[in-house]
Amino acid sequence: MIVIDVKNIHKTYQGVVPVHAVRGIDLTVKEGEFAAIVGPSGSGKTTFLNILGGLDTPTEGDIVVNNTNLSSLKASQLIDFRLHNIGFVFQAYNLIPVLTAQENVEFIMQLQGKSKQERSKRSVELLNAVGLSDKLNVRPGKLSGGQQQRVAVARALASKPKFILADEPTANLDSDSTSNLLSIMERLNKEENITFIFSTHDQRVVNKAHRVITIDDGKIVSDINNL
Amino acid sequence: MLPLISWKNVWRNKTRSLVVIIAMMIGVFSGSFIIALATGVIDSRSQDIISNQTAHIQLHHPKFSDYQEIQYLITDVNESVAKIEALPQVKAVTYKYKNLVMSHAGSQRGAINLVAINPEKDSAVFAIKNYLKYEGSTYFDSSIRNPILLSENTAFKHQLENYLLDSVAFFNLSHSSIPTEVVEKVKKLDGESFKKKKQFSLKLKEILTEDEYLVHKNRIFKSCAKLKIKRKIELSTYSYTNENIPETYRVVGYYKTNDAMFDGLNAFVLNDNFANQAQLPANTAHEIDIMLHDKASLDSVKQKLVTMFPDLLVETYRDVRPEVAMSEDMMDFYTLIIMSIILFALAFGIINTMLMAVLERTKEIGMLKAIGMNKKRVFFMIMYETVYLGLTGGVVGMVIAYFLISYLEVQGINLSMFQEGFEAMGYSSILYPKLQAEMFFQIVLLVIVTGILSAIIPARRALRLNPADAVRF
Repeated sequence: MIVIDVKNIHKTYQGVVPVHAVRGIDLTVKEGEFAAIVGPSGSGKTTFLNILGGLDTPTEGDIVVNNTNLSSLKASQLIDFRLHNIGFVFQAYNLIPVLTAQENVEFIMQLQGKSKQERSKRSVELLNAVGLSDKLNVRPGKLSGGQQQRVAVARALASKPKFILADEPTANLDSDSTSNLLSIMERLNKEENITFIFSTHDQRVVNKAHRVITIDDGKIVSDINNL
Repeated sequence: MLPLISWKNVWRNKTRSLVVIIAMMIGVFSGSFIIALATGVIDSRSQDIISNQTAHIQLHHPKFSDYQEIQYLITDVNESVAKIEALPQVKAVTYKYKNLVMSHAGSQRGAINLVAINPEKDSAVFAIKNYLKYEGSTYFDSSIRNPILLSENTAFKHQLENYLLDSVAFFNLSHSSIPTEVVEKVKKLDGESFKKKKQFSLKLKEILTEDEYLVHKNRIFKSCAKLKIKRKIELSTYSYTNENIPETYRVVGYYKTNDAMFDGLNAFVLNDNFANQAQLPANTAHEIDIMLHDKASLDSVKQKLVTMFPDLLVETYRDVRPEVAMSEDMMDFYTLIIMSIILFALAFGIINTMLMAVLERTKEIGMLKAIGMNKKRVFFMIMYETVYLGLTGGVVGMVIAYFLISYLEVQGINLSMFQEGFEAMGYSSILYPKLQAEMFFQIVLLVIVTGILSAIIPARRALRLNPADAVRF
């Protein structure tokens, strides 16, 4: 089943000199893929990922996620769409520092209007799945980088998204934490059929990816099946 | 969860939040206290005027207020009083004659506003009997013929005092600001008494240097003065038939209220005595005074009385003393102005703090918007934080103000060192701050409104954050 269908998208930033950040990208991502997007700085990767995550809209072309054309959505509809369809994992973890690990995971479900009982049950399950069942009531400041990123993965999964978009998820982690995180994500991908899309410069992540998409000069220059 | 997150966010930077909270607390406390003090002073002044001078409502012959002539009488007073007393809102009613008379005691002359009362009825309305001073003073509870109740002020003006250098006088002297060496010199006169000020003055000049006498004489006179009852004072009035009739009255007591001007003008005699002297017709009065159970019914009772007595002028204390009405009316306005100025200044502190908080959390707020937190929720999160910041300090300030004001409302703030100045303006030198529940809630409401208004700028700033800018992919 196709989760993401990108059709000839362009993005131009207007200014004194217009900048063509994305110059016609076509991409299809199927359910259960474990894909890495790579590319040098200034390649248009950031713009493409912003569009993929519904944080920006293309100047031209369509992006269809789960049969919804994001280009046709208003800003408020996009926020709601992200809430229910896209899970985010950020390079700097970006957890809410005043909430415990469990509250961080529950927060997104609260935004979705889930009941307290459901939130509590699922957050415990997810933190258990990422190996943090003993850290439920610990605030992010008391967790290691690797543990924080695992909480972020649990949070991203909490909303039951169609896919997870991870921005350099291992950039701030040591090798043990990286390998631990990658194992967890691989397991979730394999066992739960969850779709992961990474942006990364980390060769260890690239090596684990089933598909490697390289962007340069606003275009996809290679799309390799790594299995 | 949003309110909880916002509350926790307030305490992320404890020092910064505490500075704002303490500033808010001090501001709200100061504002509330100033308002309570002003309310207390104004309320106490209104209360003094009502209970000593005007009552709640007065009835006069329509021309009496303008001309104060003796012939402008209210007739059938007993019947009118009975009708008024039957009104359920009315607590007590009295009636009186009022006339400006010439006074004469020894070589001293003056003018007095003579108030001729029925003591039993008058004491149910007015509180003058609570202000008696000096040993032997009574509220007409004496067999003295033609009794008169004089103010201390009027008595001194007519030099009715004598001077006795006894232990009380020396106690007063040593507790005044007179230097010890001067007191020691005055102690040479221990046990002596002087009937006239002039005699005492000559004696003082003998024992004090010229400078000492000039600087301290007034305080020495005041400390040693004694006022005795049964002193004579002659009052001359024009009768109802326009004859000048003198009559001798004897002092039954002395009083002293907080209003030096009132004391300086008014003396009280018995209704019947004055009616005889001025040959006034029976069953008449110049003024009927009405005290109500509750000031809230003032206007409705006035309207009823206007209908009941179409030939008389019905005035509330607010009509009689417009300056009191103005003070009362302006209090709400003052409250609003004082608190608005304080809160306006504090709002800048809150806005600045919250803008810094939003700036520091650009990435976090961007993340929240990225994962699906809509604008309304972001706005309310910042709004809650700002309101909590303002409300915490505000509520603590209000609580401290409440307890301090409650304590001082009973104990009072004693400023008797400025007593003469206060009394000259008609105010008591003991101030009783008072914060009415209505004003208390007005201030709380203003604090909440300040919090909400202060939240708008930081919350809008948070809304403008682009999640794509805030979250780097």
